[in-house]
Amino acid sequence: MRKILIVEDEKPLARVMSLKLNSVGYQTTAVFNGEEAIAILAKQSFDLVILDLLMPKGDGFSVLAHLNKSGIKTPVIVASNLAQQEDIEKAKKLGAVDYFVKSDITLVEMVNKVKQYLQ
Amino acid sequence: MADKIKPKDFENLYGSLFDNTIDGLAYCQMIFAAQEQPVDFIYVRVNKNFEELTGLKNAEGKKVTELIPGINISNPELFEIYGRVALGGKPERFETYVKPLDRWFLVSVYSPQKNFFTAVFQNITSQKQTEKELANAVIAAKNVMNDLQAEKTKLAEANTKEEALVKELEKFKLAVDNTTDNVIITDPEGIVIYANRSVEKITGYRPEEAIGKKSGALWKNPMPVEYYQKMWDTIKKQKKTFTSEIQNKRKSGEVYTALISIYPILDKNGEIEFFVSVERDITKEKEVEKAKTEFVSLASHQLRTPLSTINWYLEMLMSDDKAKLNDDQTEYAKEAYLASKRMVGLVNALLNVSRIEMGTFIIEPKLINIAEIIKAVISEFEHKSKEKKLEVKVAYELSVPKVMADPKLLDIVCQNLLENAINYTPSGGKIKVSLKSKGNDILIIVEDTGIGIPKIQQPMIFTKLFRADNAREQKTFGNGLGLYMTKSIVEHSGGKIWFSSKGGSASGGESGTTFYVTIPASGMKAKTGTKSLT
Repeated sequence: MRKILIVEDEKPLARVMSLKLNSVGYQTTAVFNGEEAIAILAKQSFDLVILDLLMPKGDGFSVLAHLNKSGIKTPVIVASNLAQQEDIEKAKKLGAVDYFVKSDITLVEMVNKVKQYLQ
Repeated sequence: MADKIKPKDFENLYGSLFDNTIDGLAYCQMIFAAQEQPVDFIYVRVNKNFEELTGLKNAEGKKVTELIPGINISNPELFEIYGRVALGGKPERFETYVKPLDRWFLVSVYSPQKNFFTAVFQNITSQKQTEKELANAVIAAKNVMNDLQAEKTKLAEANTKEEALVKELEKFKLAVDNTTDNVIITDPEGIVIYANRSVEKITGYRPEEAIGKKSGALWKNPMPVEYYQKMWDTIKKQKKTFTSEIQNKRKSGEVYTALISIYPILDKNGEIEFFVSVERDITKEKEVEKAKTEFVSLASHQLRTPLSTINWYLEMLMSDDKAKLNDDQTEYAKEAYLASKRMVGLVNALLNVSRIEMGTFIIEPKLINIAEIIKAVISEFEHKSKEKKLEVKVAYELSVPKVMADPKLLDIVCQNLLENAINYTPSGGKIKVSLKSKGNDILIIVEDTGIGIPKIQQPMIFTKLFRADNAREQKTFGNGLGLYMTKSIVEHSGGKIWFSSKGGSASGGESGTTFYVTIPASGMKAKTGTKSLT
């Protein structure tokens, strides 16, 4: 079973993403800030990371920077409500494979994106 | 002694006096015509100096009219006077100008015996000349005085003018000295020759510190080389005004942002005499702008987060088999979901509007096929147009070339126009999207058979937040931002937008609206900024 790490400080959002992804057969783990993400990524390996950007205790950018530094190659999809071009570009420069604005897509669309990177 | 002098001696004495006096002497016999009319005279005897004073040689025994032809015409008064005296009149003394001789004489005349006279004369020509010169000199002097007076008056006037000018200049100087903008005047080489007080306020350097130095040397916070090249090219080669944002450094080391405008002052020959630079410290404005942008961006982020939660849980509710909603419940959830989606649209639109209004949005032209953008937008709305049984037709001219345009912006423009057409065309209506080449433009036409725009409200249709009455009645949603945004985007990228509508009625009578958008075939104007529209 493919393992997905969800990094999202908004707990209801983390929960609904987990529910949806579980319902289509993925195993999910949710953490609520950047520090926790870095900690868990050091211990476990995942097939995909869904990463929020604005979070307390280590934002998404710092997580991306850490992954780069430590050579972890897990693909990361950024799921943020920041919709500015420069945020998108910054995340992609730091190695994010995709970027979506949560309010602009449906859960079904999110699942389709995830599937793309887990084939 | 007297008795010792003999009459003969007297004769000699007088003779010698006669001959040697410095005056000219002439003893003459008057010749009269009838009725004692003096007509001529004969020089009986003249002395040595006579010849010298008159220039007449061998005069004795000759008539004056022989010696000086024309004298009876030039000096008739001589004959009158001499005649009068010769006939026993009193001695007379007069000045006369003898034109044939071109000489002035002072003449004393007396008659020693009837019909004879003795004329004693002095050549006063040079004296007369001097007098004349003096008179001329006086006239000249008077003229000079007059001229001087006139000059003086002029000068006085000029002085008054100059004073006024100086006063005027003082006013300007005072204004320039005290304006809140930084004003610097340099010579053509860029050496500061004037700096106002704001220079100190803004840069921290006193005007005295700046004068004599290369402009900007003190407060330069190096910009890219191309920046300076462009600046010098504009002001020195093209002799035009250079306006730009620049970053400089205060004496304290703090970097500040300024809006700078430099322009050359040319002399009569079109050569650069000075450069004037006006600089406004916009650091605070920039900070405010940045704060505003950040606020809008953060606010939209904060608004999106609960909306995402609502959307996704409603989606779960409607799709998840486990929820098992009945029909009514499904419908209620659907309404809530649609409203939430509209809210997301509104947040995005507000963010775009704020970017447009702050001028921070980017225009990034790429070589694109507009027809493809239109196709994508139509397919995006396919579900909706099918639901309303609308016939959507397209007509692309094959000759329309690819064009440099920002695909995102074009997408927003097409989305807004097509969405309006779909929203405001009743079921069964028709929509046609055309793409044409027209002159130097590419023309996009979106035509519908919808409710139209009431004539009276047509001038306001592009106004922010404005919605036509019939549109309000038809669709309670809609944020009044679409056309405002569309027009801003089109105009910022060098195009035009207009429409024609037969004018709808509130009841929704079908009258149709056609929107026209042009994009220059040469491409959209690129625009740097900080934010792209979404």
